[in-house]
Amino acid sequence: MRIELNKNQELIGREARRFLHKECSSEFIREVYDSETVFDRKLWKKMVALDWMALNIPEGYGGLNADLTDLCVLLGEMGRALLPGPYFSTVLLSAPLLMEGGTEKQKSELLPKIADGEMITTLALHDAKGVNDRNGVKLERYSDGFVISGAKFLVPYAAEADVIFVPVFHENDQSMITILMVKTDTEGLEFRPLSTIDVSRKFYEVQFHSVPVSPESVIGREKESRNILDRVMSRAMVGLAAENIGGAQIAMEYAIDYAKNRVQFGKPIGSFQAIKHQCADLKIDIDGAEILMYYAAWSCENNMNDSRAAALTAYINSIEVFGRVTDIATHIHGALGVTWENDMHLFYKRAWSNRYFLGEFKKKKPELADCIIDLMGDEQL
Amino acid sequence: MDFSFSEKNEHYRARLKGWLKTTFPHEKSYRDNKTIEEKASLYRMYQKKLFEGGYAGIRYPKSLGGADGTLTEEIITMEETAPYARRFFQNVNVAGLSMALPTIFMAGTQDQKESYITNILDGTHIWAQAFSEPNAGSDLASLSLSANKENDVYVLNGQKIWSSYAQAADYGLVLVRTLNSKPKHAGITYLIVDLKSKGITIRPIKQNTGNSELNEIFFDDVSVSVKNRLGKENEGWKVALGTLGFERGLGDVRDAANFRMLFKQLLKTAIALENRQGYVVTDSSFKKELADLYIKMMVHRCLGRKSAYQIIKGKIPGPESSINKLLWAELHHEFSETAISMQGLAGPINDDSVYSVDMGFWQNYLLMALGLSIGGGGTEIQKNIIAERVLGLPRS
Repeated sequence: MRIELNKNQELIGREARRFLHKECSSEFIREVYDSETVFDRKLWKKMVALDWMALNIPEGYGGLNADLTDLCVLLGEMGRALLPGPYFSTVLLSAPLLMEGGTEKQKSELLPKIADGEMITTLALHDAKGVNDRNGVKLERYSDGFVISGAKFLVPYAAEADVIFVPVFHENDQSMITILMVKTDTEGLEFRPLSTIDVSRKFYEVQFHSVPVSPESVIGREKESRNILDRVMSRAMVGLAAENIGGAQIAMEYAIDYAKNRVQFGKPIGSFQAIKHQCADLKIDIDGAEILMYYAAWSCENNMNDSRAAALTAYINSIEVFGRVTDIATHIHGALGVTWENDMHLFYKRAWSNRYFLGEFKKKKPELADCIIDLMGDEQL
Repeated sequence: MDFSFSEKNEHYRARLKGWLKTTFPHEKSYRDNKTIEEKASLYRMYQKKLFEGGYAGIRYPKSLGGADGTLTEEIITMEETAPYARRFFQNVNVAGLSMALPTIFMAGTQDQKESYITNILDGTHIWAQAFSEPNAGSDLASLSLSANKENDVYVLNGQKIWSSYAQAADYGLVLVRTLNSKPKHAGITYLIVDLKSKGITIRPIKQNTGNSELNEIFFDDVSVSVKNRLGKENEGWKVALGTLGFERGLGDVRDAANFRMLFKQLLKTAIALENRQGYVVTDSSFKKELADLYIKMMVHRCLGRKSAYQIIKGKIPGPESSINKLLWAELHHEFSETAISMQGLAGPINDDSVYSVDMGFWQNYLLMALGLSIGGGGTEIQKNIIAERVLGLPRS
């Protein structure tokens, strides 16, 4: 048993905080908002120099072989800084698909490039079906390959990526998936930028106008693809939880600082129980979310039998906590909290954007319940 | 990070599990309709068997009746015995096991240790806590039960209240006023009182469940020897706080094991109700409640593991243990609410008739849970502690 970070993890956190404080301040985020710069390649290069893209890639492919907890420490700092750019979509959502299901050839060709920061990748997870009049993606099979048509929605940094991973769910059997890699310069791809509440993370609609894909671009055998995607998504949920908690933590720190210094009725407002108890609620929420996240990282890393449930638990909780904390923290700031100048809105927007990042949030609790019933339904009392 | 126990410790767990199974064969019982006397005698039998098996007072020395074990073994024992502790009403003596025991061990004289500790561990004596008074609840330090020293005895006059299972107890842990001091907590003394002493009247209080676990205790010229004082005169407050965080941390582990058991019970009932009502487990609003309950339970469980880890490392949990007290109380509320809302129109049925679900267990639990966010420092007090002592906000 060891329920605390190790020295190396503390170092990762400390150095990331120092770096991001300088390179990704809230003034920088506001510039992103004003200029609508989607992706700052200079910042990306500096992150490459810190080996951040290589962190969880295996040593044999130019990576550092770090574990999920190490990565979560870094993601927590990125969440605090609201780091814009394709880090999450490359490192958490797509590179692991290769690690879990790629052939030796695919891995040795792509992973070193991702580790070096030369290649940016993303995952087109959500079918656009149901959004306006869009259809989901369909796959046609030919003797020499595939053709994808239809649309995917809320694809992070699609236009900035070099390769998009596209899981296609089979029409009659949702447990069957074909995962394809599509280079973004392939003919027939169209990226439509989406305007969302959180400018610090960019999303696109991706239209596939009969896009051809070669058989070598398939990840994993079709029978295994569901498991491959589930394992990657479990780890990504834990990673997103870390990011959410980082954002929630800094919002809480600002709110508490404000409550200590803002004087009304001759006293700091933090001495009033109505405010004090709300601050306590923030702390309770965040401590709980943090330990769930580290538990889930451990469970996933060690392939425990509750890893899926643990990941869903940490993810769902962190989404709700981030929303609740940024709401209350805004409120504690009084009218200042709703001004552009104050940072609260930046975090609140990220909290709401993250709610949709990995799929429709309202479907996640029933999914967790099914997972728990499977896991514990026939355990002895 | 690593949330698991070592192989050696898991080996201990397996051995204990086996022993518990053979010593206390399974018996299905939901309904808690036993009298306090019946509960006390079941508890005494259970505690005696633990003692004889070498599973009582794991971390205490053999010379005092303990098992000379490690803290980790104590934690594992708490987890594994949780369902048995519940079945045999060990909470009847929660004051003895998690307050008197560590407090006497830490602050007691050699005489006190020898007189009381073994008798707690082998199930002979039951203890009660007598801290609160009618005018000293959340503001405990304002307590006023007077103790006038005459030669080598204190003479006690006044009243205590909300004392759990005092009607079945042999001894009481009593905080008394020995000095009208400022600050108020600097005049409090901690005494061990024989509850069979002359001048003590114990009156049970009937609660919303219909049961009477809580009591008033009246002291009318009760003589207590100075030898029964724990720690120094006027330093009782420090003695009372001394073991609080530690025991809270250990208790979290037992509570987490209990919640897991309750969760499995709830799930079993839900699956059985699916056959009767046809929509429980498949109902999406139930699924949402179940997910929320599981998440809260896991928060409590993982935070409990974390404080257990700190305790094993020799760090006493600080004011952040208020978080778990608060979550623990909320979780009890939510368990009973989820369990009752899934029962359809049988929700209000509380007997063991053909209509009832789990013989009215959850309905009783619903009412019992209300008190848990009030006792032991109510939710608002816990939030003050978190805000002031963890976050550093100014005092009200």
